[in-house]
Amino acid sequence: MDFSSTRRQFLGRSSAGIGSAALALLLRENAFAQASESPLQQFPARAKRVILLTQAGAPSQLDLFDYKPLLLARRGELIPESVRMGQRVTTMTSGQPQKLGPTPFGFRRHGQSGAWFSELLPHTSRIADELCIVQTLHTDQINHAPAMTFFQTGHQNAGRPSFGAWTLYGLGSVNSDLPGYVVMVSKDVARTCDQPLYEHLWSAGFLPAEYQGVKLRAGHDPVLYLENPAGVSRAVRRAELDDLKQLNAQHAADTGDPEVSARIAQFELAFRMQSSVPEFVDLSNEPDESFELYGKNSRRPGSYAANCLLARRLAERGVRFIQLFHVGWDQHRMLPEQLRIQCEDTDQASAALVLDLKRRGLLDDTLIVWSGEFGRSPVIQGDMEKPDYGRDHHPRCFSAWMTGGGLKRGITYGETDEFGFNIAKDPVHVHDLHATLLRLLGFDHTRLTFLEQGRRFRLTDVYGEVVPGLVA
Amino acid sequence: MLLPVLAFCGALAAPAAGDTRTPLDFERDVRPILADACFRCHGPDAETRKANLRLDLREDLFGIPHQPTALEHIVEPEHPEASELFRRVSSTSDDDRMPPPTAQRQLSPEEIARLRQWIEEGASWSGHWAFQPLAAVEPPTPKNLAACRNPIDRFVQATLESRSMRPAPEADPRTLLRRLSLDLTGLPPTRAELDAFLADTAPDVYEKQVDRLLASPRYGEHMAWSWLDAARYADSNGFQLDPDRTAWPWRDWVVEAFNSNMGFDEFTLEQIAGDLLPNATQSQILASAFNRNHPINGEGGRDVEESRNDYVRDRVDATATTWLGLTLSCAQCHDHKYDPLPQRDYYRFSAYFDSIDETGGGEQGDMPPLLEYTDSAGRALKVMVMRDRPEPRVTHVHLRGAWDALGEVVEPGTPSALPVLGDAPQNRLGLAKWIVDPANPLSARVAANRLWQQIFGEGLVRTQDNFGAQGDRAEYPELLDWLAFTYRESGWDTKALVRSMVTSAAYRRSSACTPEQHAADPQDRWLARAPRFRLPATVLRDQALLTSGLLVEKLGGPPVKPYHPGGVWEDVSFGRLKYEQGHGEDLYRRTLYTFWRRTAAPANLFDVSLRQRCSVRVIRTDTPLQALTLMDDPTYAEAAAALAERVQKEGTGRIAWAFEELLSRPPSALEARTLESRLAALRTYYSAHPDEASVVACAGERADPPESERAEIAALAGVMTILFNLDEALSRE
Repeated sequence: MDFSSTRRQFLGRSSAGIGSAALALLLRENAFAQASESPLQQFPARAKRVILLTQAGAPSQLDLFDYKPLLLARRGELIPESVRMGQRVTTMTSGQPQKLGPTPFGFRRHGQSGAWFSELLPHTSRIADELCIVQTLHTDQINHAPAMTFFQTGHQNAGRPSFGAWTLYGLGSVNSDLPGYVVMVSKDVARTCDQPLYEHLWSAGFLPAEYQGVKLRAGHDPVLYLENPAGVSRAVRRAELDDLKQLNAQHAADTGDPEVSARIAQFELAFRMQSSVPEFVDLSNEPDESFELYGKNSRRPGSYAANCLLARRLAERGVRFIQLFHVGWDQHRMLPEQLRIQCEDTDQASAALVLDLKRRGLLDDTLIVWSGEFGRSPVIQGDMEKPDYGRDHHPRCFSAWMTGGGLKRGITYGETDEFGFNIAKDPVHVHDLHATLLRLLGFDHTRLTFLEQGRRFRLTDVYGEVVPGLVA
Repeated sequence: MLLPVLAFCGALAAPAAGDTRTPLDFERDVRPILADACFRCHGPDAETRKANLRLDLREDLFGIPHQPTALEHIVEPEHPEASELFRRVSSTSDDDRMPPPTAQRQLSPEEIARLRQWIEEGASWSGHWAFQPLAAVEPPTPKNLAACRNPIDRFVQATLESRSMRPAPEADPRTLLRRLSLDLTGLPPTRAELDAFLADTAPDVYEKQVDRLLASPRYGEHMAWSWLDAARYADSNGFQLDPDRTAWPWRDWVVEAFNSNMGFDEFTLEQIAGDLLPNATQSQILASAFNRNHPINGEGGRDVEESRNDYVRDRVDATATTWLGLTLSCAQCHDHKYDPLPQRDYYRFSAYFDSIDETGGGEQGDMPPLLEYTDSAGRALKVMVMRDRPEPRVTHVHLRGAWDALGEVVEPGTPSALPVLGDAPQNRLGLAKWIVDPANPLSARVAANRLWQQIFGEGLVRTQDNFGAQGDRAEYPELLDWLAFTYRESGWDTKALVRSMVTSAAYRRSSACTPEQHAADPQDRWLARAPRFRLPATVLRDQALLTSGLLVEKLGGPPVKPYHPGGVWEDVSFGRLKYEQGHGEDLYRRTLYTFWRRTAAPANLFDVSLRQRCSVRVIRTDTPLQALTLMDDPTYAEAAAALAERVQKEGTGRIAWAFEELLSRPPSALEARTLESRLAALRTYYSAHPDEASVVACAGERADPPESERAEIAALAGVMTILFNLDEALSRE
């Protein structure tokens, strides 16, 4: 049976039709609030929410997770053509000799699982046994914008729905006072990089707009236009809405258009958001212990650490899909210095989020994924005798860690070759990652579809396989 | 030539004796099932075709052998049991049944029954409707001919009669003028316009209003918007650095083309190939900027040839979607799964756009080829336009769609399933001529449907972006053909076609309905009532500016930067781009002139295309973010205060005056009572809170009202906020 048709029948023939929006609202408020199961699911869900910790710019897996002693032994040698196999590089390094370079950081094994971590990740390495580390992610794209779009939507060009929008479309929202898909962005302290984060990365694409990510901004207006205009008090706004509700309800009866009632509901939700959003971004009631756990930066609004703490608060409030973006991982230059700063900004808070959810009993039904959009090359960019060298983009293999509902813990999955250039065993394409995560949310990735321009689109395009080795 | 109509009648002629079921229409009732459930494996894509069987071809369906392996009779008219197709879809054996149990798309019992009925009725067949030649259609003669104002109504009335549906009465004149003004100009009528209309007793009073609005320069400003969406118009390149570009002269060209009622054929020729016209004028070359409106990626480290390929593909997508309603981009990596569009056709089409004199690299805003000129205001301008290289590039099929995996060499050419235009040059000019040639079955239908969508809120074909086998099928296919044929025969007279739409009885009906009527036709596909829908965000902003007296009407020119939340551009660009808000007039221009940054569209516009790629569908949703925008955006706060100030000057009956100003009708007793009592309460509140009152009354950058009046203006502004957000104010009724 085609499960997607169930939702489509409710939504009507036009995905953005006005009647469809009203029905979608009914669906959301009735079906999902009362039953946690979605009619679009094919399997029992192992997790019911997702937190993506997206490290934008491509963290260097060779300096963080994927330890390659051979690179030290062959330091400065040209990469053998038998390894490179014609792999494209960006035009930033295509003109220079392709010399191998080792990591400047110390590596050692951690936990019962003996997973490798570099010294830059003291906090993450301490939770090694909670993690499912993947060494063999790979992607089709070698530049940031298309690769990030690919990681977010399963396609390199803007326009398709994001993973978060698909998840919300499939599962619906359970919190009636907050958006179901929340995005938070943090900048790197060192301002090393200016890879922009486009709004299409969290858009609903051709899915109805209610599934789009809502970006929370740091500061006093976390959602655009959340605050009343200057001088308008909450009491005045409530009074205005009361009249609107009454007059519009009368008009709904006169016109016979059910869409009027749907819009009344949206004005009311907006009013509730005006108190629920400031309430949840207000960290003044958090005990000191929270800030100790997430690190001192968590007191600074807009920091990655503060956003991790907010992610926990969103998870507690039932928000389905929470995505953090932290930029600044594009170390073409100054890798030894900048990578250290990046890790100082993110390591403690990422680990804290895992520990915090675990002790609150939320980790078992939450999926957390820490990843960039691609990896970095074992070949050095610039002069490795000077401290300002870096590494170019590398789509053939990169590392990510995950944890939470339905995933194996304390494992390292997949192996790259001894150069860290190619995958030696158990590749996991981005489509496979999506397929696996959707499976844990209760979906057959080939059946969570939406009819657009005559074609049933899905997050995994026409590819992707669930990776059984990742699933507990 | 009456092909589509004949096919329809063929289906009517066939029902078995004593059969009380409504006879099926192959196009509407049967082909969609075959297309959706079968074509993936038994359709146009040779690569994935199973059993060498094509259910999109008449030859295969009816067992006329065209291949050595042709199967037994797939469909035996009138005999479902003898038809292999029916045997397979109704088989209870998993080994035998089609679609196979592993297929995602399965047939419902209702669909299987429909296939059976179709065969029983004689299995009428016709080629896909949109690919059939466009011919003259004779409007039917309904019983109640008197209810018809023009030929459009004869199609609708005849169908409503056959379905025993009662058309809604004509809308109240006030509602009607508001509707007409919003649909044709994107602005509601002024009080003077409304009064003149109501006082006029001439028999053609309504038609006079239509002509007045069509002649208004506001018409072109309004009609241009959806064309800008199709053209993915923006004032910046997009991607990493997102540098500004000078594209607005082309935007002004579009507005002027609508206002001067340029024929759609000329409109097409100039935008696709204005640079190739003999002795091309500056204006014609400027028009060709249509296909330079795509995003440009200046990201460091990118292969310039990859970028150039992206631009070529974007042009293929925009051109095929906008003019042909074809999902040609689906044939980029493989043959199209549903429509007869082989991958090779995609690259033949792309060859028209492959020889632009461009490099694909560079980080500045305006990339060559450029048109350099001085405009009438004395501005020196450089606008990106089309220009071919002296030597054309060699175009290849790209294997699996990969930009760097080159396959066979192809020559420019139009899709092979459509008629060929013999003597046209094989360049963009030839393509443009082919598009507007009478032999082209798609262009006129697609264009007429787009105009219908603009006037009626939804197209007769709901999928403006897909006229292929998987697209929507109009409930009024003959009406669409009549409109398309009439449009073409009129010399592509856009205003005349729009005029015929808005003067029809179908357009002039009331949009109100009972719950039963709504349930019977929730999407209003049969047009028994007028459609009712939420107005676009652009129109809502313009309406607030006009009624508050703030609107500054000035045609064209460089984009402006009205109020915008701080930090949006900065966030998206990590501080590199700063929004420098304009002042004075710039705050109050029509939304058409708001600067469009491709990486961060104006924050107060919702349900808009992001202008990343061609977009021709209407987006209409309801979210809480929209409610927040409408109540909290400073644009609306200032408009509420400014309208309050106007009301303040009116004296008695003030709320009723404002109500009518916005909604073109006086309030009901209940409405007046509710709003008056709110005004009284707010007046008490703001008298006691003069600081709040002052802030509310002085919202925005307009001149502050006198201090003594601020409490009253603030109280009135609260009521105006309610008025602006009444569902009736947000809607086209």
